[in-house]
Amino acid sequence: MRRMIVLELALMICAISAVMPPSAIADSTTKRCGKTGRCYVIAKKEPRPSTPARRTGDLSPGSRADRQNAADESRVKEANKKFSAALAVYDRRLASYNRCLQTFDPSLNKTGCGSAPTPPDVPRLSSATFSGRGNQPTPTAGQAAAIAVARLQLPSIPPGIGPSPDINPWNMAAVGYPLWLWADGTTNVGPISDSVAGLSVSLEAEVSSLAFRMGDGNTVRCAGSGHPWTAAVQPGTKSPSCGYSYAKPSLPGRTYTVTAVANWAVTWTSNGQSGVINVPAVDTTELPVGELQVLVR
Amino acid sequence: MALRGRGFVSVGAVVACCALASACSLDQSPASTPSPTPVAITPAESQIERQMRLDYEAAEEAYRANMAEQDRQSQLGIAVKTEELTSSASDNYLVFVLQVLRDIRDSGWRARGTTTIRGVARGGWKEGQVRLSACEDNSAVTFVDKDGKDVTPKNGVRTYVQDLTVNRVRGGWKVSDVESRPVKNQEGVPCGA
Repeated sequence: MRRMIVLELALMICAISAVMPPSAIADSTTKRCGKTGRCYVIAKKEPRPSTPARRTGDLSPGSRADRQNAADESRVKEANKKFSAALAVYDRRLASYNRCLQTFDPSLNKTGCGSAPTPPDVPRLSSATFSGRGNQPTPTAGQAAAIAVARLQLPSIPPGIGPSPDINPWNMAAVGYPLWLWADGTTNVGPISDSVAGLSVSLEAEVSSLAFRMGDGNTVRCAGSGHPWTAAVQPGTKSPSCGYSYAKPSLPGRTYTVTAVANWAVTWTSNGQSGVINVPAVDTTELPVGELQVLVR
Repeated sequence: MALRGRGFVSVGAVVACCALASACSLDQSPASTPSPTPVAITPAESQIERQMRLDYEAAEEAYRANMAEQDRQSQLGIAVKTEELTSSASDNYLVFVLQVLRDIRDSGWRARGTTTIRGVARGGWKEGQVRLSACEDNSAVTFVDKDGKDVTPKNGVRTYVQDLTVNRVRGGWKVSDVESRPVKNQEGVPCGA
């Protein structure tokens, strides 16, 4: 009798633990606590309902509606194919664009690709490609994310250079003087939600790397997004994270074009999947650099 | 004698448990036919048991990899969605982890020490999803600000039982959600030492 009770209990525990209760996933009031001791309540992401399976068994040949459905399906398949092909072209162009940016330096007129690189156009999901009956091409989560990221229009990162040449009487930076470099703009975007062909995509972007082409042939790679220079900085102090001193003047007659090349790491989540897409951003500024002569008597 | 009897019952329960699990969780394979062969005392791992074991191991590995990355980033005071984070976490858990890291970063803090995982207990299993309960102990983790001053929160419990949901995503495993149960000590909980 005692054995029976133990066995029954074991079976009950086993049944509970071996088979997942479908609704036991944490809800919106779930407490999530981290190493700081702080707890968070994060809005629940509802799982996207799976697309109902096509009921091919319901098709009865000869019916006008069924023929229409079949035609729609064929058009959707064709649209999906075209869209995938367009996306593949876009991916190749984006990769080419990224490669160009690796060597792009407008001040040296070196583009690495023969001309100034321009980002490719995003393939569009034209309504003309759809049947108009609610049957739309269904991109994969990764494809939807690529489109949503391209639509995001991430801001460029203007190069921050301090102290600014505008605040000294000569209106120029000086050879040998330690300049501070930083990302002079937002380095976080999102979270943002977008919808691509009915597929919801959540995006969040963060600058993951930053480099400055100084215009004299040298490149400075920064750890993080750099520290902004302020008037409180002692003269001659080097930036703790990202700085540069010019060895030669650009003046007279010209300026150095300083190019900030940033990489946005965009994390996407869609339909239970997630990934990271890297998007480069380029911005430039002109910097006159001269020599300060000191007379010693 | 009584002990031996209980041991037999436990073996019976385990065998029954596995039978139940396979009955509930798998497509029916061809029904086994009665065999004259005596039942083995130590049955070999069945296909479903093997699948479950591999899933649990992979899920725990993803969780531990994610914790290691959390430790690394909190020590550097950064909050970056690295491949290490996104390959081992998704959905609510990824959002939560990034929020924790951002809070540390935005406070200008850096962590010293790492979270101790006292144990990981196995919970429910179904195809493509497992539950784990992890005992996390953050009592050895301290925080310093930019000036090196100790700013470790003194109040509140930093020892948790973390009930994790881990999903298989494209062949890999990612922690997708967590429910935290702050506990003063982890004695008596499944994952406790």
